[in-house]
Amino acid sequence: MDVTQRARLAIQRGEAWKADTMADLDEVAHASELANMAAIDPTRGLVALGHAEAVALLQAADKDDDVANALRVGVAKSAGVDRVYWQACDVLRVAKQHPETAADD
Amino acid sequence: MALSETPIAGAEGFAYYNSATYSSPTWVNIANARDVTINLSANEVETNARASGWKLSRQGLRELSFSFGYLMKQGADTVWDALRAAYFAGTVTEFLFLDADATETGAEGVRAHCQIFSQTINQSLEDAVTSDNECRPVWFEDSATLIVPTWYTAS
Repeated sequence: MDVTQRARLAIQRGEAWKADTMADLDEVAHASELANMAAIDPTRGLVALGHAEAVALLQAADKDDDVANALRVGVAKSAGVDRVYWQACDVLRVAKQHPETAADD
Repeated sequence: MALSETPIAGAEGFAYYNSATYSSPTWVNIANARDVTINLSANEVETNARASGWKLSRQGLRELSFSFGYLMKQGADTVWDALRAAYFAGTVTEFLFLDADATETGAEGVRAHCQIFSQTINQSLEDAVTSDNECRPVWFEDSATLIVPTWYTAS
């Protein structure tokens, strides 16, 4: 499974978990918890990438993409670690597969 | 993967710092963290009056601090370098402390922008060399919006 498939899977799992969790909550008794759950954005679920995998993705990203540039700084500052964690929507954006999931667009 | 709903040991928790930005984070696991403590408290505001006949209180400003040990090693250590640099430069660093790996749906914990206010390096004769780090939230804005500590749930 490549990294974009992992990102899509993370979003799907997050959406399913959010729906299941909210379905188990009572509208009155769990009102505040429901509000917190509703605010959760599954596209921001995290995906683990090998450091080299993250570098390779960024090399193919647009040079003027703000998200890619932010991630570039993060990856440069974490050189030497085995893996990093990116939001699923950011993974898809850097891989140029983001339209339906990029929360900040 | 979804969480298994069982009690866990402290060693099974996860700590991360963000090496990128708030909106597009790059989280890095602080794998050598140990003995993490997340302190959540609130000041107490007294709301006593003759009418109640009871001492009554109300939550005032909430307060958060983190403390964690770090197992140091000789040679290159990217995470320790980041923590040490954050202390010496006073860099605002975003931390995330979760009860499971960040990729686990339902993992939860506290996310906050902090400075490291104390970094004690322990070199006891017969213990591993460690550092004790104490962090507290600081004022941090993203796109002119104040970002305060939150309870984070991984989805």
